[in-house]
Amino acid sequence: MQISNTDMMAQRAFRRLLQAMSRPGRVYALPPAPSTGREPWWAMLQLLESLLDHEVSVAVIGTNGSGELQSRIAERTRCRAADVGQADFLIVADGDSTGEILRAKRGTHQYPDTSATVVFRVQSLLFPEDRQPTIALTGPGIREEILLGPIEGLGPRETEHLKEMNSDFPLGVDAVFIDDAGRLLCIPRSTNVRIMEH
Amino acid sequence: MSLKEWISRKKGNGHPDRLDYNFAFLDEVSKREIRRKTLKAVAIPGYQVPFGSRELPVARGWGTGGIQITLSIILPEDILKVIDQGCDGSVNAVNIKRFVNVVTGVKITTDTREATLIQTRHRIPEEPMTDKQILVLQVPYPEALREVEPSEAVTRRMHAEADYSRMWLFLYEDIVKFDEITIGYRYPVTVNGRYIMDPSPIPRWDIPKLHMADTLFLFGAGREKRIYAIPPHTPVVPLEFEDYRFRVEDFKGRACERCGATDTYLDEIIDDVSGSRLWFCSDTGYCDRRCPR
Amino acid sequence: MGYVAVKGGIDAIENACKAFLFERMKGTTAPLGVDQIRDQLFLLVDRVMGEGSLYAPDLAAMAVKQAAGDTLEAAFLLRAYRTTRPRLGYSVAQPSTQMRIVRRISAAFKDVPGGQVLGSTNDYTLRLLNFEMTDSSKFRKIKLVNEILRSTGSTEPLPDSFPRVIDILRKENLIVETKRPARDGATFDVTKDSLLFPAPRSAALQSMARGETGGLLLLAYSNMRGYGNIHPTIGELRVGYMPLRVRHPVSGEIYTAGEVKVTEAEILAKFTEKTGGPRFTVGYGLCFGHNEVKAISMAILDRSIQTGTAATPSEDAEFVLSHIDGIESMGFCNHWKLPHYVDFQSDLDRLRRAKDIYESQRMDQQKKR
Repeated sequence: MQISNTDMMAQRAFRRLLQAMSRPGRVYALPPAPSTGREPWWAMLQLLESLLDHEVSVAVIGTNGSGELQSRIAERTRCRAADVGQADFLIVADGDSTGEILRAKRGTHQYPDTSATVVFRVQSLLFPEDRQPTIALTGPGIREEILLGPIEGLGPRETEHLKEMNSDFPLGVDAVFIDDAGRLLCIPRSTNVRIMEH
Repeated sequence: MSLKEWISRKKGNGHPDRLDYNFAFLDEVSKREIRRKTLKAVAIPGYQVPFGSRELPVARGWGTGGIQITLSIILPEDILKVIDQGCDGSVNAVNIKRFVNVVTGVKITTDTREATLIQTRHRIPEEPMTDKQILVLQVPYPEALREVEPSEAVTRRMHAEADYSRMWLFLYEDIVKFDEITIGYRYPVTVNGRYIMDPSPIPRWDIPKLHMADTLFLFGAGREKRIYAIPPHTPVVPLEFEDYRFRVEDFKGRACERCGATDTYLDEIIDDVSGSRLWFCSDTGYCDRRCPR
Repeated sequence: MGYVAVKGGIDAIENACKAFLFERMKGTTAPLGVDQIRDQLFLLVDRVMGEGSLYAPDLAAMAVKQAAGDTLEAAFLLRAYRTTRPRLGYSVAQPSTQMRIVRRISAAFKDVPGGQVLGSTNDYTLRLLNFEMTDSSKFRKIKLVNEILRSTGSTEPLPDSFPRVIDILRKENLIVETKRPARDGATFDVTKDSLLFPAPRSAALQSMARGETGGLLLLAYSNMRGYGNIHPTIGELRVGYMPLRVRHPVSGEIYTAGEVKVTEAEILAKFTEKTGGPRFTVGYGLCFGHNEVKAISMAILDRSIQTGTAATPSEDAEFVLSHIDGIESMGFCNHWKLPHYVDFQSDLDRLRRAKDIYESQRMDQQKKR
């Protein structure tokens, strides 16, 4: 039996992602990468390696170093580049798509699964006790209600955009949030997102 | 290279005549396809996601869907339990767990509480599963509406439009004929208030376990090429009328002959000699635990 | 009697596997050589390769031996093996005029450019069981081969090219043109993506190319007999070797990696007036190895599922494509042998209750009298 290290890491990363998608709003940690030569987006790449290859397409949005991230993704996964409106995976490289995610494909009523998955790279998924939560989540995978936020490094209107994209269930996109420490959180389209007033 | 040379090469390196394979048998491209589709299934509870189902050394109709999901998520440290009709020793379960063990090296158990990953055919274990566990169910017929409509193109449209009137009519006609709904296993349920779903041929007894559970349920249909899911804490409600409620199987207060349980799903065994009936827990792992050693 | 011992299941299963092996090897007959199966049961091997969706004559012969001649089982063995092989890419599509012909006939015309090349076939034999087959001595084999070679006069070499009958008719504007797919040449791959309906033609043809011969024949036959109206004429039937051309992964150059024996059938079907004037429609069939019944059936079904109205089973694309895979159908058929007692218990419960209700209603009615 051959076990390549990359393949095993991919299997582990996916297991965490599966847990995160089935329990929206809860933070999970990717298994730590080997510390040598760690690039800033090692966590994002490890996650994408478990999902992406030449059979799907990706669009990378964002200004902050996204060019390098894009070529690293192509190198590691051989995933084809596509326009935001067609891509199976949208990578928001610095947490703010400036509304671009509104163009993502939301699937069809007969095949809602053909929609995009949006992966936001954010600064931190640690929520210090003293900060007021900004969103309340309910729905499948959540026992009663989860209060979250603010997500550091996430663009100010992204949650609003997600809510709009997902307003006609089962159409919509599924969101994954990941920080450079390897923390992971998901909000699938089945989640009801209430933006909290202050 | 001729076949003879190929065979002699394989035998030469001291290993039994067996192919080299990837961890968990499936190649990475296949695993990624299954993972992507599983993720979408979790995001849209109860909706059947089409996937590129691969062929396995196990026959179609014998659990290839469940196996593909298991192989795409299993880790070397998982503890795997495989049951068929609730039984760990049943033909199908034994074959599958041997295969998965050979291609992953994982530890196998018959104890539901010890397992981290359980693959099952037609039963949900009696012990409530936790948030640390995943249940993978083998599905022969992923489409609940197939009873009323043979065409996939039409049932796709029915799900898209949430047009389930023909299913309700089917239940109503049953009541008119028999004064009760006669569906035994594969009882249709509504998931998250939206999709009507086939829970696989589990008995009605097990349907309540799907509702607002702590564990993730993944459903794999290999031959029909569909994956679907019920996340934890998701409402799963069997179809019923106010005056004709859903009811589970009635064992009329009988107890398991072996462990005495009166609150489990029982198998009816016909005694060769007297022709009388004996009843035993279908969940053999649970029954084993209850019996003093 | 007491509790049924389920833990002994593992031993029972292993013994059942051993018993099957024993069944094949017991007795005094000499073990079959895989080479013998490959060379002498070549039509069986071809059928198994086609249904197993893997062109590998030696492996197909091995599978036939391992499965004790069960074609569904042998095809399954090949499919399961195929799944373990790394996918390197796709070959470069070739027109079938590249075929190295060993047999080529047309029923549409008495003679065609290139001629009617009958090749090797048992179409014209009298089906008289030959009892001399019981003599399997090498001596007899050599004697027969020499007799054939001696009695066959010198033959003319085959022509260099065999223009396609369809192309000839096409030049006269008698054939409906197929629409090319809109996508950039990427075809569907049924081994990777799930078939959804309506299915693209490439997906339909792939499914049928791997389909079970008997199933395809059944559906095509129903159409021929009247559950449908294709009224086919065989424009051309070819058996031969197609070159396998692939692109070098580094240089990008195209080179020939080998050749694959195939059977190709093109049928001309009833004409339609729907597309710019009356023209013949065409049905196409192609499969591995020498399997004429399959290629012809496939061509008929290719045409019938494009009819548009699914008035009969052979015209219903979803019906045809969902039911012709031998591995799927055999697997599911066999799965009914697996224990279903939990489900049956659930049905028994329903039946008993329904009976109780029925009985009590009957008694109520009797009381009323």
